[in-house]
Amino acid sequence: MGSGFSALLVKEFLQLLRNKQLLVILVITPVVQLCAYGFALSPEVKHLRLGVIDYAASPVSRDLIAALTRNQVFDLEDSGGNETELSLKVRDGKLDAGLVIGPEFTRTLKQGKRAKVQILLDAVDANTAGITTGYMIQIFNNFTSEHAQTQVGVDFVDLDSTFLYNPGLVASWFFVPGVIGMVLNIAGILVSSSTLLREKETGTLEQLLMTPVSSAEILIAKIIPLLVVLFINIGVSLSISMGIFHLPFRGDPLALFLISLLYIFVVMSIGISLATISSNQRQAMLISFFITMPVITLSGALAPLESMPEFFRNLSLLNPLRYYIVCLKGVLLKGVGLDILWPEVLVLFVFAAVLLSLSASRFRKQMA
Amino acid sequence: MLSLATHAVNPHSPIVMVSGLEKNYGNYPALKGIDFEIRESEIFGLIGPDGAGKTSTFHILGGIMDESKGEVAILGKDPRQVRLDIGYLTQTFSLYLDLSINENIEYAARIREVPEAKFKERRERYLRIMGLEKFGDRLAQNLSGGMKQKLALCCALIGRPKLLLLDEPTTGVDPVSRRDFWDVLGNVAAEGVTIAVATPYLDEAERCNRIALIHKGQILEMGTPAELKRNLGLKRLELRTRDIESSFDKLEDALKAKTVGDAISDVQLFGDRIDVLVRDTDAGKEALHSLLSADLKPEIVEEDATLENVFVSKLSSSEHAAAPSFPEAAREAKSGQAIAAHSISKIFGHFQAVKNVSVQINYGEIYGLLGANGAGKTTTIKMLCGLLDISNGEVSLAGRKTELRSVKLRKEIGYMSQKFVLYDDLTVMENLNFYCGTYGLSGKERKERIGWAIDTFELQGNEGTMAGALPGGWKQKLSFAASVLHQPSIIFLDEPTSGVDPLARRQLWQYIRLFAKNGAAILVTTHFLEEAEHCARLGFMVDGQLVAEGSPSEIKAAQPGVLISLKVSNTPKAYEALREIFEEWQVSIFGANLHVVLDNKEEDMARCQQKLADNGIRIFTSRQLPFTLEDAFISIVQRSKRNK
Amino acid sequence: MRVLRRALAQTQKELFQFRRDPLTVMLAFVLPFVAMLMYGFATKLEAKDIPVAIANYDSGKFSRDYVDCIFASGQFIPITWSGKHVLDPLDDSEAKATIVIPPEFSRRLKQKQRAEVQVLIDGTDVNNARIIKNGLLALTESYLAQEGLPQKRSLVTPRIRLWFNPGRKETLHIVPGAIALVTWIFPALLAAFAMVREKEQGTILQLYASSITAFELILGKAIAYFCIGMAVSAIVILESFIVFQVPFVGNPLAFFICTVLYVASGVVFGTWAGTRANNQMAAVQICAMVGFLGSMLLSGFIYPIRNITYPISLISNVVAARYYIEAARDAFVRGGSWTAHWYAPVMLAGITLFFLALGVAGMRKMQLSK
Repeated sequence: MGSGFSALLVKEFLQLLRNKQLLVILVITPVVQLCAYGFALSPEVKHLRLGVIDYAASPVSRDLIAALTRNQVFDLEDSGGNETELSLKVRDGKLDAGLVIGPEFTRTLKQGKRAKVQILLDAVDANTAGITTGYMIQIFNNFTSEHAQTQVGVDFVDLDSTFLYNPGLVASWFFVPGVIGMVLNIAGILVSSSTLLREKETGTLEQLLMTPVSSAEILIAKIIPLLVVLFINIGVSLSISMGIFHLPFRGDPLALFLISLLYIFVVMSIGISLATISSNQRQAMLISFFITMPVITLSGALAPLESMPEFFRNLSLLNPLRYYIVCLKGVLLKGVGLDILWPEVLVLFVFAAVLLSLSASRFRKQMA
Repeated sequence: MLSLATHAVNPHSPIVMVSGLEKNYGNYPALKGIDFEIRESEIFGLIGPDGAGKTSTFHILGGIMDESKGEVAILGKDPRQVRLDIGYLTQTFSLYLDLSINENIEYAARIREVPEAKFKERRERYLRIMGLEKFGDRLAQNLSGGMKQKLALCCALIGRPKLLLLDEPTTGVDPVSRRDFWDVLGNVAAEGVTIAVATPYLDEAERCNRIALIHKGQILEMGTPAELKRNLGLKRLELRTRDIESSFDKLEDALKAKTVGDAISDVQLFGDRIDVLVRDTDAGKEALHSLLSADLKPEIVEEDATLENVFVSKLSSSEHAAAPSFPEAAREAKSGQAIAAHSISKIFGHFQAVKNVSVQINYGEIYGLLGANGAGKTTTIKMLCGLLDISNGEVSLAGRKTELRSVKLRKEIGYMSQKFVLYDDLTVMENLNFYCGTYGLSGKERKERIGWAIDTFELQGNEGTMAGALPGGWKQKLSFAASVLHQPSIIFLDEPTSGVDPLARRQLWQYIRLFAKNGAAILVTTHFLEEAEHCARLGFMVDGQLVAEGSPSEIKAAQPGVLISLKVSNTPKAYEALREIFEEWQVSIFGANLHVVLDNKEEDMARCQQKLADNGIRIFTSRQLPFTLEDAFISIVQRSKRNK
Repeated sequence: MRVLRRALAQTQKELFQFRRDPLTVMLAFVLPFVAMLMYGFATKLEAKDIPVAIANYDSGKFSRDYVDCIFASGQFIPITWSGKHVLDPLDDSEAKATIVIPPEFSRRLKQKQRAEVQVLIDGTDVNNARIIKNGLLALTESYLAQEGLPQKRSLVTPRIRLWFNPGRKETLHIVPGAIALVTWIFPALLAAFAMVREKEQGTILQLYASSITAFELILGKAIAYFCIGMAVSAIVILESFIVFQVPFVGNPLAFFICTVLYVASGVVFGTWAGTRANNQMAAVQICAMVGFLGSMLLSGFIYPIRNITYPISLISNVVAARYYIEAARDAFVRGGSWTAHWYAPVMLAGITLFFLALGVAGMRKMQLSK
């Protein structure tokens, strides 16, 4: 590897830095994606529109309503005045929940008996409906302890639950590692396939083949700048996550570096293979669409893998992004290292080795 | 067939009037006030180097772009108001490649609001004229370059425009298809359609009624090709001697030193002859004889000046800036065979692209490989330089028969591919540095070579320009420089002058010759037949086979038959009539004249006269012309096709 | 009439070109189909079969019964815990929660004393963390009831009535969103490609040189891709009925009108993007950015719109998918009167006209811009 190689390397760096579109993909995309996912996606249940028909109209029933609206979980809205109107409003989606407190509510409580209330819930969003139900039961329990005239007893098994790693249950901490993986995945495939394809499309590759540089030199000179820019890509993503979303970095930076290196090789190899099978950038881009979508959906970046049907869950075992996201969450949020993540790292290593050797051999075959 | 002679053509009513036209892109003036008019039914040629302002003019005429200043009237109106009367054909193919011929035409007709009944009739007629009627369902992307442009012409004609604007319609199209295309244009013009055309090919300019030479946004001269040649006031002497190189050196020295006064105004070296431009034939001949010793045995033939002579002498300020010589590294001179191929073949699947081609090229020799698109030239070059495996046969390159892809051998080879050599997103300097680097040039050597490239191709001040932003001609020159920086001893040039204007072409050839003189073997392909004259030997390929080989003079001399130029009373009608008794390629329209190739001079001339007389056409003059290489080319290709 | 004729010439040409490229046809029909399958099956927020590790330091019968009770419901599945640190199963992501049962658990319960159980929940999966907590609380309650052990009694018992989706099937929530995402982004991409290609290949000059107006050009292209978009829409809606077993309960006419307007808005947007972008790469970037981010994140597809952080939440007001998702949920889940969302078709029409006007204005001159 002599002056020919350094000339190639300089050329690749210059071309990459000059390509504004790639720089947009590498820098702007992570910013926009991270902000969008971080700010827009939140499973937290807050400010549900609640309509109340209070037939009891006593201080106790008002206390119950106050308990519901206290933590901003529910906002009180116009209920329409009677049960029919209320249910109509829930049905039309104007209210998320309706509460009907019967006239005998206060009396029943005073007698120390259990009082029933009716709740109407819009369950179109099944997830939110489930969580809302949980909230209500909790609020009612607390209400009981405060207003109990008689001894209501205690649970004999007391569940003391702790949320680990993300005690505040900050939504962005869940999405951000996934988005980092996603962004790297898209950028890596697009950038590496397009740098190769441009050379093929314009015909300069043929010229290059007539110079005394070897095809291995050509490939390595292409890979090195890609490594650098993709690390910059990860760097940008991480700084935004930590700067804006206060994502913790609890683990070992070196471990993250090594794992990311493996994953960069994986996406780069996919990009290179893509460049060898397609004849122009348009084709490569369309095919990358076909690849990227299932890779992201089946990675656990947005929705937990456990809830998928078995077929898709098994399919996700073949998805390298899945392992990378586990590693990212492990290093960033859980602060664990290679001693614990080694199975995932091993799988990534196998992916990288197999894909890289496959794509490199395809590339060299095409150049001969 | 065509409804000929049905128009009462008034040759003086102008279709296009342009006066004081200016166009600025930011601060850059592309057009600096041009005036011209185009009359009904004429073919008007706009000839000029890259960046002269041809495309800008066409954009404004087509209503695609607004002018900065000046007036443009087409049919007496603003171009945008008469867009339906204008047919427009762009530099690149103006077609949808993923539509079939019929679909392309139908679409063109519908956006141009052609009524259904007329559309059917016109489609059939034009497809027949273009010879495309059999391929209606074929996708445009599966057509050859020539067919694509004919289809594009068909689409432009379907709306029955009164004016046809053609912006370099035949760039990259092979000579056979180009002649075919121009035959069709002649036909269309005869129907009463006015045509404005820009072209870098001077043989095509000869076929225009009038031409304008445009340079740096200004029109230098305008008139019929004959007028322009006459106005030049120069005669051309073709000089052949025993040692052309040394004769040429002597003449150049004399020209620079002005030892013979202004008896000689220009000399140009070709493959086997020297062209000398003189003001006065006798004084010129005398000067030549006094300069060249008798043992060189000079033979001089008087000829008319060509349009290229006009072009070059108009555009180049007569100074002969000595081109800086290439900073050579010392190395032993090589002699003997550099490239030798023994009956090589290439088979792609079921298609045999190259069939048993044998060529030998010596060090110091320029060999030209000619042929229509798809004849197998590029495939042959790729096999010779080791980029493609050979299906059959044997190649020896610089004495090696195996490992044509070895690193050592590649350092000996210069290769300029048909597509782009340069990286558009690197600057001129970065490109040159890159290629120096890949060939391992460093230090002083690298500096010298890059300095040479910059000086030679006048790139000073543009070192930091992106290669993609350079005009086409400069790109090609820079590409050439980049592929010879390492001083190769074998050079492959695949269409090095495609899209380059005559001035730049002349300069490039100067350097190609320089490398040959320094001992390199050079294999070149080209679509410009006038520049094939620069080659010492030529090989003609048809359908993958080498069908003729020899020096340019040998090839021309070996042509059977004669070429006759006729001036007749009704050129279009005569053209139709003669095509009935001769093969199509034998008859073509050149401006106001008709060129006919006769196999047998007396007998065929009699038939010709008879036929014209039967059609009531009078012959004013008839003159025998020497075959140009283009005529030879067409005739070789057509005859070898006929023999199959 | 002439306007329409020239526009339709454009439409016909686009459709001819469209069917020539197998990759584009794939992108148009196969990818939406697959995307729909993916989103429908794989976007489930509420976890089932949640892996839970039990660190049981107690050997008595009570703890065994308690563990049995937890896994009996099927919401949780046990994973074997090697017995080292209780955090290990969470650290290596094997379990989402670890339940630590102390050694004196059975003894204390036998003596009618309170026993404490510690639960460690992986908080990285924010949504499921809450679900796990609620689930375990409920199971513990039922364990106490089953064993007859004392338990806290709530004085207020809610009678919960779930509207529209009594089974709380997530498919019903996700499918309308997935339909919206898929029928918008793919036709938009294709339309953008078609526009950019004219520019890239230089054929746009031919259009400039003809008398076709910007409106006719954009309309012609939009009609072509609108047809394709409606076909895509038909495919994914049928897919929803057949594969996901989603019922149709709404007003067919209202839904049809919204679908037409929605597909049109996507196609017109794509055409506009094509007029702005100079190459296909840029076109994809614009469509993917706006399409995916807008239709997926700002539309209420996954989580309710009110959860979006404030200034960004304003953007969702101009996201077409948001309105279509309302209409689709009316049609597939809520049923009944569509008048509640009368503004959906109005907004969709508005967005369509806006991008149509923007595109036409950008190309108004039908000339080279330099």
